[in-house]
Amino acid sequence: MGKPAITNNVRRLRFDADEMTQADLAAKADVTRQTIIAIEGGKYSPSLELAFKIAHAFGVPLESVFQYQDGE
Amino acid sequence: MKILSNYSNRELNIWGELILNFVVCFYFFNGVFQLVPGSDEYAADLAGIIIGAVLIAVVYSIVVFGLINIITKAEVKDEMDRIIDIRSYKMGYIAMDIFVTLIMCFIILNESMGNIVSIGISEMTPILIAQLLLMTLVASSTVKSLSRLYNYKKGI
Repeated sequence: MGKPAITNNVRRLRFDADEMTQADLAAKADVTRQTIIAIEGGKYSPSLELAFKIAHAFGVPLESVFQYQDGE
Repeated sequence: MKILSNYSNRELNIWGELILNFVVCFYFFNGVFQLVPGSDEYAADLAGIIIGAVLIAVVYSIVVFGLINIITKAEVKDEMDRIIDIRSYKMGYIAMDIFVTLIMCFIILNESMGNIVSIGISEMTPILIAQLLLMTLVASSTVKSLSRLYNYKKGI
């Protein structure tokens, strides 16, 4: 299996935001902590709605949180 | 208790479901295979086993799932849970298809190639067929739970 097409900076952004916990981010994005863990680990690519919620929780634009690798 | 609190509510519930499947199956089929078909007490004994299995399932569910929801906080399903549910239900459905096909093949082969086991179609009583179908349902439910567990661990 290759590298995931969608990468993210959720972990770094959490630490930049006063070491926000996964549980705090999960509560802000209205998902479970397991979903945040899966997103951080690159095991799950969130829906557009959830991606926006996460970006909103950090107060940054979507592309600062998620990046698309086109594989070329 | 501390070890259990390291697992998520969802994961513990799946494990609980798997163990319930195993316990009820073991109790039910262990009892059923010891019955003598055609005996006077068969129906009463079978009813006793079914009632016992239901009681075990109810008591187990109250104790185990209640305990899980006390140890870990119950969580509302989110989008990842729903996708995992859809995938695991699909796997369970495929497994049920396969098991039903295998049972049909077994019955046909058993009849056409001479008895593989000493039961002919005429001896396939509704009770026996119901047990085969029950086994199929339990097996597909187990596949569904295992698939959920796998998807939670591996990611989707």
